[in-house]
Amino acid sequence: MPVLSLVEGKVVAIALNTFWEAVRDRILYAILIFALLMLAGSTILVTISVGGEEKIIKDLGLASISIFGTLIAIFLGIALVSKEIERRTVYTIISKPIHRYQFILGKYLGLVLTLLVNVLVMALGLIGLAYLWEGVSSLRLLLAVLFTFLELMLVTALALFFSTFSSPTLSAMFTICLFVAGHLSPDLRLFAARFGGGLLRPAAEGLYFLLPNFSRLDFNDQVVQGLSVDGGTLALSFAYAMFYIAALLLAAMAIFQRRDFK
Amino acid sequence: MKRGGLAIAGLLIVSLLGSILVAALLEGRAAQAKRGDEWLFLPDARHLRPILLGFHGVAADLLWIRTVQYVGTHVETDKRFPQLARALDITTSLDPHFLEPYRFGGLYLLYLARQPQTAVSLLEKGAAANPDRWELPHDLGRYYYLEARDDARALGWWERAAKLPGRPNYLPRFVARLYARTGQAQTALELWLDLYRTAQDDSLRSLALQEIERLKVAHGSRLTVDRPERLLR
Repeated sequence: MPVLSLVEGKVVAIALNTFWEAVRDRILYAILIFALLMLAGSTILVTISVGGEEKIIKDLGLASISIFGTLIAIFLGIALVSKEIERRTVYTIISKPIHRYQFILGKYLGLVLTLLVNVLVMALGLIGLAYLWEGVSSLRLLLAVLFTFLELMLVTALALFFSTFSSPTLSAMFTICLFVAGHLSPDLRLFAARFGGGLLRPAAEGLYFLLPNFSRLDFNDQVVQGLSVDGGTLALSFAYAMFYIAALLLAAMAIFQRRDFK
Repeated sequence: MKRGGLAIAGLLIVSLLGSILVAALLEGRAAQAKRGDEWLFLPDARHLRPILLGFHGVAADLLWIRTVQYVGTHVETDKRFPQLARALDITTSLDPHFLEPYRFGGLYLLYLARQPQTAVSLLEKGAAANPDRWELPHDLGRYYYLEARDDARALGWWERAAKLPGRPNYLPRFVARLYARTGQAQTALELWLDLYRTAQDDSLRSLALQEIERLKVAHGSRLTVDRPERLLR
Protein backbone atom coordinates (compact mmCIF):
# COMPACT_ATOMS: atom_id res chain seq x y z
CA MET A 1 0.00 0.00 0.00
CA PRO A 2 2.77 2.53 0.88
CA VAL A 3 4.55 1.51 -2.35
CA LEU A 4 1.39 2.23 -4.34
CA SER A 5 0.92 5.62 -2.70
CA LEU A 6 4.57 6.44 -3.43
CA VAL A 7 4.07 5.56 -7.11
CA GLU A 8 0.83 7.55 -7.20
CA GLY A 9 2.54 10.45 -5.48
CA LYS A 10 5.27 10.57 -8.14
CA VAL A 11 2.78 10.35 -11.01
CA VAL A 12 0.60 13.03 -9.43
CA ALA A 13 3.63 15.29 -8.87
CA ILE A 14 4.62 15.02 -12.57
CA ALA A 15 0.99 15.48 -13.65
CA LEU A 16 0.56 18.63 -11.57
CA ASN A 17 3.87 19.97 -12.77
CA THR A 18 2.81 19.36 -16.41
CA PHE A 19 -0.54 21.00 -15.72
CA TRP A 20 0.99 24.17 -14.22
CA GLU A 21 3.53 24.31 -17.03
CA ALA A 22 0.72 24.11 -19.63
CA VAL A 23 -1.34 26.70 -17.77
CA ARG A 24 1.59 29.13 -18.08
CA ASP A 25 1.64 28.58 -21.85
CA ARG A 26 0.19 31.63 -23.61
CA ILE A 27 -0.98 29.58 -26.61
CA LEU A 28 -3.50 27.86 -24.33
CA TYR A 29 -5.18 31.16 -23.51
CA ALA A 30 -5.15 32.26 -27.14
CA ILE A 31 -6.92 29.03 -28.16
CA LEU A 32 -9.41 29.31 -25.29
CA ILE A 33 -10.24 32.93 -26.16
CA PHE A 34 -10.77 31.96 -29.82
CA ALA A 35 -13.09 29.12 -28.75
CA LEU A 36 -15.16 31.40 -26.52
CA LEU A 37 -15.30 34.04 -29.27
CA MET A 38 -16.53 31.40 -31.73
CA LEU A 39 -19.23 30.40 -29.23
CA ALA A 40 -20.34 34.01 -28.87
CA GLY A 41 -20.11 34.50 -32.64
CA SER A 42 -22.65 31.72 -33.21
CA THR A 43 -25.35 33.97 -31.70
CA ILE A 44 -24.68 36.55 -34.43
CA LEU A 45 -24.70 33.87 -37.14
CA VAL A 46 -28.11 32.50 -36.16
CA THR A 47 -29.74 35.89 -36.67
CA ILE A 48 -29.47 35.37 -40.44
CA SER A 49 -30.94 31.86 -40.33
CA VAL A 50 -34.57 30.85 -40.67
CA GLY A 51 -35.36 28.39 -37.85
CA GLY A 52 -33.06 25.91 -36.17
CA GLU A 53 -31.29 28.57 -34.08
CA GLU A 54 -30.88 26.35 -31.00
CA LYS A 55 -29.48 23.54 -33.11
CA ILE A 56 -26.99 25.84 -34.84
CA ILE A 57 -25.75 27.28 -31.52
CA LYS A 58 -25.31 23.80 -30.04
CA ASP A 59 -23.65 22.39 -33.19
CA LEU A 60 -21.20 25.28 -33.42
CA GLY A 61 -20.48 25.15 -29.69
CA LEU A 62 -19.72 21.43 -29.74
CA ALA A 63 -17.61 21.86 -32.88
CA SER A 64 -15.64 24.67 -31.15
CA ILE A 65 -14.92 22.43 -28.17
CA SER A 66 -13.79 19.65 -30.49
CA ILE A 67 -11.66 21.79 -32.85
CA PHE A 68 -9.94 23.92 -30.21
CA GLY A 69 -9.58 20.98 -27.84
CA THR A 70 -7.88 18.99 -30.63
CA LEU A 71 -5.51 21.91 -31.27
CA ILE A 72 -4.57 21.98 -27.58
CA ALA A 73 -4.21 18.19 -27.46
CA ILE A 74 -1.94 18.09 -30.53
CA PHE A 75 0.22 21.15 -29.94
CA LEU A 76 0.78 20.58 -26.25
CA GLY A 77 0.83 16.77 -26.61
CA ILE A 78 3.66 16.62 -29.14
CA ALA A 79 5.88 18.77 -26.91
CA LEU A 80 5.30 16.71 -23.76
CA VAL A 81 8.37 14.50 -24.10
CA SER A 82 10.34 16.18 -26.87
CA LYS A 83 10.54 19.48 -24.97
CA GLU A 84 12.04 17.68 -21.97
CA ILE A 85 14.63 16.06 -24.26
CA GLU A 86 15.36 19.32 -26.06
CA ARG A 87 15.86 21.23 -22.81
CA ARG A 88 17.79 18.24 -21.42
CA THR A 89 15.60 18.29 -18.32
CA VAL A 90 14.81 14.65 -19.05
CA TYR A 91 18.31 13.70 -17.77
CA THR A 92 17.55 15.26 -14.39
CA ILE A 93 14.22 13.49 -14.20
CA ILE A 94 15.37 9.99 -15.18
CA SER A 95 18.35 10.21 -12.84
CA LYS A 96 15.90 10.50 -9.93
CA PRO A 97 14.27 7.45 -8.32
CA ILE A 98 11.41 7.46 -10.74
CA HIS A 99 10.35 4.92 -13.33
CA ARG A 100 10.10 6.00 -16.92
CA TYR A 101 6.54 4.72 -17.16
CA GLN A 102 5.63 6.99 -14.24
CA PHE A 103 7.07 9.92 -16.16
CA ILE A 104 4.96 9.10 -19.27
CA LEU A 105 1.81 8.50 -17.21
CA GLY A 106 2.31 11.71 -15.22
CA LYS A 107 2.88 13.75 -18.38
CA TYR A 108 -0.26 12.30 -19.97
CA LEU A 109 -2.45 12.89 -16.93
CA GLY A 110 -1.13 16.45 -16.61
CA LEU A 111 -2.19 17.30 -20.14
CA VAL A 112 -5.52 15.52 -19.69
CA LEU A 113 -6.12 17.69 -16.61
CA THR A 114 -5.31 20.79 -18.67
CA LEU A 115 -7.76 19.65 -21.34
CA LEU A 116 -10.41 18.91 -18.74
CA VAL A 117 -10.22 22.44 -17.35
CA ASN A 118 -10.40 23.94 -20.87
CA VAL A 119 -13.26 21.69 -21.97
CA LEU A 120 -15.18 22.52 -18.79
CA VAL A 121 -14.77 26.26 -19.38
CA MET A 122 -15.97 25.89 -22.99
CA ALA A 123 -18.83 23.54 -22.00
CA LEU A 124 -20.05 25.95 -19.31
CA GLY A 125 -19.95 28.73 -21.90
CA LEU A 126 -22.00 26.61 -24.32
CA ILE A 127 -24.56 25.47 -21.73
CA GLY A 128 -24.92 29.07 -20.49
CA LEU A 129 -25.42 30.32 -24.04
CA ALA A 130 -27.98 27.59 -24.81
CA TYR A 131 -29.80 28.50 -21.57
CA LEU A 132 -29.88 32.20 -22.49
CA TRP A 133 -31.23 31.33 -25.95
CA GLU A 134 -33.77 28.63 -25.08
CA GLY A 135 -34.62 29.52 -21.49
CA VAL A 136 -34.18 25.89 -20.43
CA SER A 137 -31.02 24.15 -19.26
CA SER A 138 -29.49 21.84 -21.87
CA LEU A 139 -27.65 19.53 -19.50
CA ARG A 140 -27.89 16.73 -22.06
CA LEU A 141 -25.11 18.57 -23.88
CA LEU A 142 -22.77 17.25 -21.19
CA LEU A 143 -23.10 13.78 -22.72
CA ALA A 144 -21.77 15.05 -26.06
CA VAL A 145 -19.06 17.02 -24.22
CA LEU A 146 -18.01 13.90 -22.27
CA PHE A 147 -17.47 11.92 -25.46
CA THR A 148 -15.70 14.86 -27.11
CA PHE A 149 -13.39 14.88 -24.09
CA LEU A 150 -12.76 11.14 -24.57
CA GLU A 151 -11.86 11.85 -28.19
CA LEU A 152 -9.42 14.53 -27.00
CA MET A 153 -7.91 12.08 -24.51
CA LEU A 154 -7.36 9.69 -27.41
CA VAL A 155 -5.74 12.41 -29.55
CA THR A 156 -3.48 13.34 -26.61
CA ALA A 157 -2.43 9.70 -26.24
CA LEU A 158 -1.62 9.59 -29.96
CA ALA A 159 0.45 12.79 -29.74
CA LEU A 160 2.29 11.52 -26.66
CA PHE A 161 2.95 8.16 -28.33
CA PHE A 162 4.56 9.81 -31.36
CA SER A 163 6.48 12.32 -29.24
CA THR A 164 8.33 9.46 -27.51
CA PHE A 165 10.27 8.59 -30.67
CA SER A 166 10.05 11.51 -33.14
CA SER A 167 10.53 15.26 -33.40
CA PRO A 168 7.65 17.66 -32.56
CA THR A 169 7.06 18.46 -36.26
CA LEU A 170 6.87 14.81 -37.25
CA SER A 171 4.75 13.99 -34.19
CA ALA A 172 2.29 16.73 -35.15
CA MET A 173 2.13 15.41 -38.73
CA PHE A 174 1.61 11.79 -37.63
CA THR A 175 -1.06 12.79 -35.10
CA ILE A 176 -2.94 14.96 -37.60
CA CYS A 177 -2.75 12.15 -40.21
CA LEU A 178 -4.16 9.62 -37.73
CA PHE A 179 -6.81 12.11 -36.62
CA VAL A 180 -7.96 12.45 -40.24
CA ALA A 181 -7.65 8.71 -40.90
CA GLY A 182 -9.62 8.00 -37.71
CA HIS A 183 -12.48 10.07 -39.05
CA LEU A 184 -12.29 8.41 -42.46
CA SER A 185 -11.97 4.79 -41.33
CA PRO A 186 -15.71 3.96 -41.73
CA ASP A 187 -15.51 5.29 -45.31
CA LEU A 188 -12.38 3.24 -45.97
CA ARG A 189 -14.31 0.12 -45.03
CA LEU A 190 -17.25 1.18 -47.19
CA PHE A 191 -14.94 1.87 -50.11
CA ALA A 192 -13.26 -1.52 -49.79
CA ALA A 193 -16.63 -3.29 -49.54
CA ARG A 194 -17.81 -1.58 -52.71
CA PHE A 195 -14.73 -1.68 -54.89
CA GLY A 196 -12.23 -3.92 -53.17
CA GLY A 197 -11.23 -7.31 -54.38
CA GLY A 198 -8.49 -9.77 -53.49
CA LEU A 199 -6.33 -8.51 -50.67
CA LEU A 200 -7.76 -4.99 -50.54
CA ARG A 201 -10.90 -5.92 -48.66
CA PRO A 202 -9.24 -7.82 -45.76
CA ALA A 203 -6.50 -5.15 -45.62
CA ALA A 204 -9.10 -2.36 -45.37
CA GLU A 205 -11.01 -4.39 -42.79
CA GLY A 206 -7.83 -4.77 -40.73
CA LEU A 207 -7.05 -1.06 -40.99
CA TYR A 208 -10.62 -0.23 -40.02
CA PHE A 209 -10.24 -2.03 -36.71
CA LEU A 210 -6.64 -0.90 -36.16
CA LEU A 211 -7.08 2.82 -36.78
CA PRO A 212 -8.79 4.90 -34.09
CA ASN A 213 -12.46 5.19 -35.02
CA PHE A 214 -13.55 8.64 -33.86
CA SER A 215 -17.09 8.22 -35.19
CA ARG A 216 -17.65 5.75 -32.32
CA LEU A 217 -17.22 8.66 -29.90
CA ASP A 218 -19.47 11.10 -31.74
CA PHE A 219 -22.91 11.50 -30.15
CA ASN A 220 -23.35 15.16 -31.09
CA ASP A 221 -26.18 14.51 -33.59
CA GLN A 222 -28.22 12.47 -31.12
CA VAL A 223 -27.74 15.00 -28.32
CA VAL A 224 -28.43 18.12 -30.40
CA GLN A 225 -31.47 16.61 -32.17
CA GLY A 226 -32.87 15.12 -28.96
CA LEU A 227 -32.70 11.58 -30.34
CA SER A 228 -32.47 8.59 -28.02
CA VAL A 229 -29.03 7.18 -27.25
CA ASP A 230 -28.63 3.53 -26.37
CA GLY A 231 -26.96 3.04 -22.97
CA GLY A 232 -25.16 -0.10 -24.15
CA THR A 233 -23.63 1.75 -27.10
CA LEU A 234 -22.47 4.53 -24.76
CA ALA A 235 -20.84 2.03 -22.39
CA LEU A 236 -19.11 0.18 -25.24
CA SER A 237 -17.90 3.46 -26.80
CA PHE A 238 -16.49 4.50 -23.43
CA ALA A 239 -14.75 1.13 -23.08
CA TYR A 240 -13.41 1.43 -26.66
CA ALA A 241 -11.77 4.80 -25.89
CA MET A 242 -10.29 3.47 -22.62
CA PHE A 243 -8.80 0.35 -24.26
CA TYR A 244 -7.34 2.36 -27.14
CA ILE A 245 -5.82 4.97 -24.80
CA ALA A 246 -4.37 2.22 -22.59
CA ALA A 247 -2.80 0.52 -25.63
CA LEU A 248 -1.23 3.80 -26.82
CA LEU A 249 0.11 4.68 -23.37
CA LEU A 250 1.57 1.20 -22.92
CA ALA A 251 3.26 1.45 -26.34
CA ALA A 252 4.58 4.93 -25.46
CA MET A 253 5.93 3.61 -22.13
CA ALA A 254 7.58 0.63 -23.85
CA ILE A 255 9.30 2.88 -26.42
CA PHE A 256 10.38 5.45 -23.84
CA GLN A 257 11.73 2.65 -21.61
CA ARG A 258 14.06 1.51 -24.40
CA ARG A 259 15.29 4.96 -25.38
CA ASP A 260 18.94 5.62 -24.74
CA PHE A 261 19.56 9.05 -23.23
CA LYS A 262 23.35 8.68 -22.81
CA MET B 1 16.42 56.48 -39.99
CA LYS B 2 13.53 58.90 -39.78
CA ARG B 3 13.37 59.03 -43.59
CA GLY B 4 13.39 55.25 -43.79
CA GLY B 5 10.52 55.07 -41.31
CA LEU B 6 8.49 57.58 -43.31
CA ALA B 7 9.15 55.65 -46.53
CA ILE B 8 7.94 52.40 -44.92
CA ALA B 9 4.81 54.16 -43.59
CA GLY B 10 4.15 55.62 -47.07
CA LEU B 11 4.60 52.22 -48.74
CA LEU B 12 2.31 50.65 -46.15
CA ILE B 13 -0.46 53.15 -46.89
CA VAL B 14 -0.02 52.70 -50.67
CA SER B 15 -0.13 48.90 -50.31
CA LEU B 16 -3.26 49.04 -48.15
CA LEU B 17 -5.02 51.43 -50.51
CA GLY B 18 -3.95 49.26 -53.47
CA SER B 19 -5.39 46.11 -51.89
CA ILE B 20 -8.68 47.90 -51.11
CA LEU B 21 -8.89 49.26 -54.69
CA VAL B 22 -8.23 45.83 -56.27
CA ALA B 23 -10.73 44.21 -53.89
CA ALA B 24 -13.37 46.74 -54.97
CA LEU B 25 -12.62 46.02 -58.67
CA LEU B 26 -12.91 42.27 -58.07
CA GLU B 27 -16.18 42.85 -56.21
CA GLY B 28 -17.60 44.61 -59.26
CA ARG B 29 -16.59 41.70 -61.50
CA ALA B 30 -18.13 39.16 -59.12
CA ALA B 31 -21.42 41.08 -59.14
CA GLN B 32 -21.49 40.84 -62.94
CA ALA B 33 -20.97 37.07 -62.85
CA LYS B 34 -24.01 34.93 -63.54
CA ARG B 35 -26.13 34.50 -60.43
CA GLY B 36 -27.10 31.01 -59.39
CA ASP B 37 -23.73 29.39 -59.93
CA GLU B 38 -22.94 29.41 -56.22
CA TRP B 39 -23.57 25.70 -55.68
CA LEU B 40 -22.21 24.30 -58.95
CA PHE B 41 -18.84 23.35 -57.52
CA LEU B 42 -20.08 21.76 -54.33
CA PRO B 43 -19.75 17.94 -54.48
CA ASP B 44 -22.57 15.57 -53.61
CA ALA B 45 -23.24 15.00 -49.90
CA ARG B 46 -21.92 11.41 -50.07
CA HIS B 47 -18.56 12.76 -51.26
CA LEU B 48 -18.67 15.80 -49.01
CA ARG B 49 -19.49 13.96 -45.79
CA PRO B 50 -16.18 12.04 -45.36
CA ILE B 51 -14.01 15.12 -45.82
CA LEU B 52 -15.92 17.00 -43.12
CA LEU B 53 -14.28 14.77 -40.47
CA GLY B 54 -17.39 14.44 -38.32
CA PHE B 55 -18.44 18.10 -38.59
CA HIS B 56 -21.31 17.34 -41.03
CA GLY B 57 -23.87 18.81 -38.59
CA VAL B 58 -22.10 22.19 -38.57
CA ALA B 59 -21.65 22.01 -42.36
CA ALA B 60 -25.41 21.43 -42.75
CA ASP B 61 -26.10 24.45 -40.49
CA LEU B 62 -23.79 26.68 -42.52
CA LEU B 63 -25.23 25.42 -45.82
CA TRP B 64 -28.75 26.09 -44.54
CA ILE B 65 -27.83 29.68 -43.60
CA ARG B 66 -26.26 30.04 -47.05
CA THR B 67 -29.41 28.64 -48.68
CA VAL B 68 -31.55 31.19 -46.83
CA GLN B 69 -29.23 33.96 -48.12
CA TYR B 70 -29.43 32.48 -51.64
CA VAL B 71 -33.23 32.55 -51.54
CA GLY B 72 -33.23 36.09 -50.15
CA THR B 73 -30.87 37.36 -52.87
CA HIS B 74 -32.84 35.79 -55.71
CA VAL B 75 -36.20 36.92 -54.32
CA GLU B 76 -34.90 40.47 -54.55
CA THR B 77 -33.39 40.04 -58.02
CA ASP B 78 -34.34 37.57 -60.77
CA LYS B 79 -36.80 35.41 -58.77
CA ARG B 80 -35.15 32.30 -60.23
CA PHE B 81 -33.83 29.53 -58.01
CA PRO B 82 -31.95 27.06 -60.22
CA GLN B 83 -29.71 25.71 -57.43
CA LEU B 84 -32.25 25.66 -54.59
CA ALA B 85 -33.23 21.99 -54.88
CA ARG B 86 -29.57 20.92 -55.01
CA ALA B 87 -28.66 23.08 -52.00
CA LEU B 88 -31.53 21.61 -49.97
CA ASP B 89 -30.64 18.08 -51.02
CA ILE B 90 -27.02 18.48 -49.91
CA THR B 91 -28.05 20.13 -46.63
CA THR B 92 -30.59 17.44 -45.74
CA SER B 93 -28.24 14.63 -46.78
CA LEU B 94 -25.52 16.02 -44.50
CA ASP B 95 -27.91 16.18 -41.56
CA PRO B 96 -31.06 14.11 -42.21
CA HIS B 97 -32.55 15.05 -38.81
CA PHE B 98 -32.37 18.83 -39.34
CA LEU B 99 -36.08 19.62 -39.85
CA GLU B 100 -35.98 23.29 -40.93
CA PRO B 101 -34.42 22.70 -44.37
CA TYR B 102 -37.23 20.23 -45.15
CA ARG B 103 -40.02 22.43 -43.79
CA PHE B 104 -38.94 25.91 -44.92
CA GLY B 105 -37.13 24.48 -47.95
CA GLY B 106 -40.35 22.75 -48.97
CA LEU B 107 -42.19 26.08 -48.76
CA TYR B 108 -39.48 27.85 -50.80
CA LEU B 109 -39.63 25.15 -53.48
CA LEU B 110 -43.40 25.20 -53.57
CA TYR B 111 -44.21 28.89 -53.45
CA LEU B 112 -41.06 30.61 -54.73
CA ALA B 113 -39.41 28.16 -57.13
CA ARG B 114 -42.76 26.63 -58.20
CA GLN B 115 -41.36 23.10 -58.07
CA PRO B 116 -44.14 21.18 -56.28
CA GLN B 117 -42.84 17.72 -57.17
CA THR B 118 -39.38 18.54 -55.82
CA ALA B 119 -40.97 19.98 -52.66
CA VAL B 120 -42.95 16.77 -52.15
CA SER B 121 -39.83 14.63 -52.74
CA LEU B 122 -37.91 16.69 -50.18
CA LEU B 123 -40.68 16.37 -47.58
CA GLU B 124 -41.01 12.63 -48.27
CA LYS B 125 -37.26 12.26 -47.84
CA GLY B 126 -37.58 14.04 -44.47
CA ALA B 127 -40.57 11.92 -43.39
CA ALA B 128 -38.64 8.73 -44.21
CA ALA B 129 -35.55 9.90 -42.29
CA ASN B 130 -37.58 11.10 -39.28
CA PRO B 131 -40.44 8.63 -38.79
CA ASP B 132 -41.08 9.83 -35.22
CA ARG B 133 -41.62 13.51 -36.14
CA TRP B 134 -45.12 14.76 -36.89
CA GLU B 135 -43.98 17.93 -38.71
CA LEU B 136 -43.13 16.41 -42.10
CA PRO B 137 -46.25 14.24 -42.62
CA HIS B 138 -48.19 17.29 -41.42
CA ASP B 139 -46.61 19.49 -44.12
CA LEU B 140 -47.19 16.83 -46.77
CA GLY B 141 -50.85 16.63 -45.74
CA ARG B 142 -51.10 20.42 -45.98
CA TYR B 143 -49.64 20.35 -49.50
CA TYR B 144 -52.08 17.68 -50.71
CA TYR B 145 -55.02 19.42 -49.03
CA LEU B 146 -54.34 23.03 -50.03
CA GLU B 147 -52.36 22.76 -53.26
CA ALA B 148 -52.95 19.39 -54.91
CA ARG B 149 -56.59 19.22 -53.67
CA ASP B 150 -56.12 15.51 -53.08
CA ASP B 151 -58.13 14.78 -49.93
CA ALA B 152 -57.32 11.07 -49.88
CA ARG B 153 -53.57 11.68 -49.82
CA ALA B 154 -53.92 14.58 -47.37
CA LEU B 155 -55.88 12.26 -45.11
CA GLY B 156 -53.18 9.58 -45.33
CA TRP B 157 -50.41 11.96 -44.25
CA TRP B 158 -52.44 13.74 -41.55
CA GLU B 159 -53.58 10.46 -40.12
CA ARG B 160 -49.95 9.43 -39.83
CA ALA B 161 -48.99 12.78 -38.26
CA ALA B 162 -51.93 12.63 -35.80
CA LYS B 163 -50.52 9.41 -34.29
CA LEU B 164 -47.11 10.94 -33.54
CA PRO B 165 -46.08 12.54 -30.23
CA GLY B 166 -46.22 16.32 -29.94
CA ARG B 167 -48.65 16.80 -32.83
CA PRO B 168 -50.88 19.91 -32.75
CA ASN B 169 -54.33 19.56 -31.21
CA TYR B 170 -56.09 20.44 -34.45
CA LEU B 171 -54.77 17.42 -36.37
CA PRO B 172 -57.33 14.85 -35.11
CA ARG B 173 -60.05 17.40 -36.07
CA PHE B 174 -58.64 17.68 -39.59
CA VAL B 175 -58.49 13.90 -39.89
CA ALA B 176 -62.10 13.49 -38.74
CA ARG B 177 -63.31 16.18 -41.18
CA LEU B 178 -61.43 14.59 -44.05
CA TYR B 179 -62.94 11.20 -43.29
CA ALA B 180 -66.37 12.81 -43.57
CA ARG B 181 -65.40 14.59 -46.80
CA THR B 182 -63.97 11.46 -48.39
CA GLY B 183 -67.23 9.65 -47.72
CA GLN B 184 -66.05 7.66 -44.74
CA ALA B 185 -68.71 8.97 -42.37
CA GLN B 186 -68.50 5.96 -40.08
CA THR B 187 -64.79 6.53 -39.32
CA ALA B 188 -65.35 10.26 -39.08
CA LEU B 189 -68.04 9.75 -36.46
CA GLU B 190 -65.82 7.49 -34.36
CA LEU B 191 -62.98 10.01 -34.53
CA TRP B 192 -65.26 12.89 -33.48
CA LEU B 193 -66.60 10.82 -30.62
CA ASP B 194 -63.09 10.01 -29.48
CA LEU B 195 -62.17 13.68 -29.73
CA TYR B 196 -65.24 14.61 -27.70
CA ARG B 197 -64.31 12.20 -24.94
CA THR B 198 -60.63 13.21 -24.79
CA ALA B 199 -61.00 16.97 -25.38
CA GLN B 200 -59.46 19.12 -22.65
CA ASP B 201 -61.52 22.26 -23.28
CA ASP B 202 -65.20 23.07 -23.82
CA SER B 203 -64.76 24.75 -27.19
CA LEU B 204 -63.26 21.58 -28.68
CA ARG B 205 -65.99 19.48 -27.09
CA SER B 206 -68.74 21.69 -28.52
CA LEU B 207 -67.03 21.59 -31.94
CA ALA B 208 -66.95 17.79 -31.79
CA LEU B 209 -70.62 17.72 -30.79
CA GLN B 210 -71.53 20.03 -33.64
CA GLU B 211 -69.71 17.80 -36.16
CA ILE B 212 -71.38 14.70 -34.76
CA GLU B 213 -74.76 16.35 -35.19
CA ARG B 214 -73.90 17.29 -38.76
CA LEU B 215 -72.84 13.73 -39.56
CA LYS B 216 -76.07 12.47 -38.00
CA VAL B 217 -78.10 14.72 -40.25
CA ALA B 218 -76.17 13.80 -43.38
CA HIS B 219 -75.61 10.08 -42.85
CA GLY B 220 -77.73 9.19 -39.81
CA SER B 221 -79.47 6.16 -41.28
CA ARG B 222 -76.24 4.64 -42.57
CA LEU B 223 -74.22 4.98 -39.37
CA THR B 224 -73.85 1.69 -37.53
CA VAL B 225 -72.27 3.03 -34.37
CA ASP B 226 -74.64 3.35 -31.45
CA ARG B 227 -76.60 6.58 -31.45
CA PRO B 228 -74.09 9.35 -30.80
CA GLU B 229 -76.23 11.29 -28.34
CA ARG B 230 -76.56 8.18 -26.18
CA LEU B 231 -72.83 7.58 -26.30
CA LEU B 232 -72.15 11.12 -25.29
CA ARG B 233 -74.37 11.04 -22.27
